[in-house]
Amino acid sequence: MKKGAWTLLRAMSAAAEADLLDAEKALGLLDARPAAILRRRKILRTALLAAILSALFVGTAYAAWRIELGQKLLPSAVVGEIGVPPTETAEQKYYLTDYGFTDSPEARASQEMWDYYWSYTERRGQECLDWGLSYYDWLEEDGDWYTGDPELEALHTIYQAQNREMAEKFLEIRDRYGLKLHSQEIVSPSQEEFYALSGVEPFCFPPSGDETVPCKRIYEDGSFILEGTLETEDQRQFLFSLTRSLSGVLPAASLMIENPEGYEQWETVNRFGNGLSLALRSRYPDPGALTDNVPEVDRLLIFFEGEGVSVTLTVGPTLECLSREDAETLADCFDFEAACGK
Amino acid sequence: MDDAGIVDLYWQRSERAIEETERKYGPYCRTIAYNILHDAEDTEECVDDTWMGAWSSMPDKRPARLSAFLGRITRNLALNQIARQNSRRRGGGELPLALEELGDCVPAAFDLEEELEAKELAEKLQRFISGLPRTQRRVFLGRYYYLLSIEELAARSGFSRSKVKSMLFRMRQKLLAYLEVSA
Repeated sequence: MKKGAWTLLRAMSAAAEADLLDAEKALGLLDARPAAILRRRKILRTALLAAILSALFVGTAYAAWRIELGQKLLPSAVVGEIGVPPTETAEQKYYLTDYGFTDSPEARASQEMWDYYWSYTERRGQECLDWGLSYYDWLEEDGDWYTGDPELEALHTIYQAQNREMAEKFLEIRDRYGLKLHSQEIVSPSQEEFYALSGVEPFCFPPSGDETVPCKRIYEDGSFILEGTLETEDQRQFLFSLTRSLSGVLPAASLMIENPEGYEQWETVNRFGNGLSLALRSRYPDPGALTDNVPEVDRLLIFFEGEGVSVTLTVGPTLECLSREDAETLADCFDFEAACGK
Repeated sequence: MDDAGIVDLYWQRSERAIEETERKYGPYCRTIAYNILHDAEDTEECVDDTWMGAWSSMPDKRPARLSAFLGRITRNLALNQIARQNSRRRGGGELPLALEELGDCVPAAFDLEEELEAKELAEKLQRFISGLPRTQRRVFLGRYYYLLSIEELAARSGFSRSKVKSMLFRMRQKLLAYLEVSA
């Protein structure tokens, strides 16, 4: 064992409480079931779909649904890794709008909220360090500031507001953009809860026949986030996330991406007749194209816009090579219009 | 019972506090202890000591989230126990493998104990971990905080084993660079 490894391992005990809570929840460590019986969620296990109908639809209809990646991206104040001093090669990050386009109140409010969140966290953490405290000591200042007030509790648990000052800023942003807040979040709902709250018809159609919807979170208005794994015929696995976001609500989360110019974009129609816009960052066919300047590798984004509702599928980032053919095959696994529910 | 209720029991010096803690967090703390100690008897002892540690801390402490609070006590107790044991016995479970991997993160010709105060190193690690993208952070903590095996981490995270390995490898490289730069 190399000298110093033990010291590092011990020092990990200082990990921030918020990070530990997030990890223990995501990894199911509070689950009393023995780990050995936990099963990896596999949405697709066998051959993926072959019937591509897009050729029948290609042509005149494109303009009706064409969405440029640039219409969904707003620049973030965050450059490089959060909490790490930016380097010369640090990439500009962009928020991927959950609902609508960059000029929507939802997108603008979300950008402002997360820019505030990250800059505030960095500033207060740095102040604590300057005062000889630890980076997250400022979190203790307000004590149990949210208990007993449903709105503050929602701001803390759903929007990650870390103290009263941050919560008040979020409320100010909400009011200025004329939006509502999510008031309730259910983590890992049952299938019955999911369908009752979302009001959508079944829309996951893997060839394996397992149509269980892997819902991670659902909100009171029927917005939801799915997270699962897609497995291709050749046993490559891709982590995916699918979000359904409704108008009029401040989004609770925002995905950040880098290097948008590295994406290839096109349109297609999947086997359900959904007109989709795809954006793919791929090393295909050369997996060796990975470089240090591209910390996140292949990633696929698929956009579908309904009336007052946006559905976005993200696949990856993954070290597997994602080809255009893979992308269109994965697009065939969901009926996006059914996921819109309208 | 929710965490606030359990904490109230500690503050009231009610022995039910231990029962409720055992009921809610017993499996969680056992997982952490066993991943380090790899011995059922030692694990039980460590978990019992955790409850005693919680009993001694409350009052005055009033943790908002008991899981992180108890998990940290369990982890520190288990690591202390390992440190007291003969180094030959540091052979159980995932610990030696995790230590081997963390050796990759120690800068060459660099004595962590001499170069950095424990508090300083802890702060640097805290910042590094918090700065990781959420998904990577979960995997990193799963391996090096909770000492989960690669197989279990893959099962719990939904990633393949090879993906977990490659993520950990890249994060160790990142940590090495971070420690070198910040030193």
